[in-house]
Amino acid sequence: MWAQIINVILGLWIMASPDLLGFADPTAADNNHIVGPLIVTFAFTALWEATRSVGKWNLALGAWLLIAPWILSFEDRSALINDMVIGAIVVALSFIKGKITQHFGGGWSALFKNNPEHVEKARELS
Amino acid sequence: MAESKEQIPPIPPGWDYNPAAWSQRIPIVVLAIIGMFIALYLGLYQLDIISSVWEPFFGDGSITILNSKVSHVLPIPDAILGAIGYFIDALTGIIGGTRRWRTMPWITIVFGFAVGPLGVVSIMLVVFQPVLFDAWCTLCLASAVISVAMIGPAMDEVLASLQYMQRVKRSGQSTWKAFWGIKEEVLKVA
Repeated sequence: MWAQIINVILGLWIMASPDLLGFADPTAADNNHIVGPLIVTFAFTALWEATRSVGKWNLALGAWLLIAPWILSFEDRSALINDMVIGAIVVALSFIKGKITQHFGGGWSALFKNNPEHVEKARELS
Repeated sequence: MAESKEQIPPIPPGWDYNPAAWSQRIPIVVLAIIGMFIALYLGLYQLDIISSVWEPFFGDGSITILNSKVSHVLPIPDAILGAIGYFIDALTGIIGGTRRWRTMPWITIVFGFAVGPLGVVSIMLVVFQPVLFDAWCTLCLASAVISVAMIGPAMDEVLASLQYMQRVKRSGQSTWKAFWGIKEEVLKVA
């Protein structure tokens, strides 16, 4: 959970950094204005145990921040360093699942399994 | 097998709490109602019913965004659409008893769709505005924050309903009837 909280903060930073750091490159600013809110949305949703797996989606967004400065050829050096450093941290934190204490009948992956937890439990009940 | 809806265990099989309990749903409904009032306020400005809009941080930002071409691309202003969205969230959040993940899967799934995918779309529409207009809008951002906060707590109930639909399908009963909460079908499958 703490990993997701940090990713929320990093997402907010990505969203605000073009203005706070004064990015000279409009492409870099646009990129961060789009990617930041997405990171915040996924990390915040992942705060709840039932939707913790959504946090993993930030793996792709963090990886994008690592390569975006090269693909979009950022002209602003501070934007390049900022995005690569934050992107690397977001990727690392996306791997941290944290403790899951509640039971959800096998979770979302149960929907694609042959004999998930909730089916077993329902059989015991009937 | 349950003989009446009241005999259905409120906690889904394999779960340790009921995602459709009021304690789970009321906070989401409250958020949706707050979001609805914020959106309504912004919408009244867009409809020229009120002449100014509260903006403590970003100067002309709110005015720039609320008067943008994008926000008036549809016949009704986008904030009014947002208010309608929040109204649907609140309504589908409040309808149904504490066993609705099983007794009326359709409402749970409509609720999940309104809060989840539609919520994400509305958040993105709000936050992409700095890209298009180079301006920020405090109350638009507040509305986006509310939409983000609703997704996580709403989705567990959707999962319980989808798992129930999965059990109905596996048991060979009619998923169509169970989806609409036809009583006989709902009682058949645990």
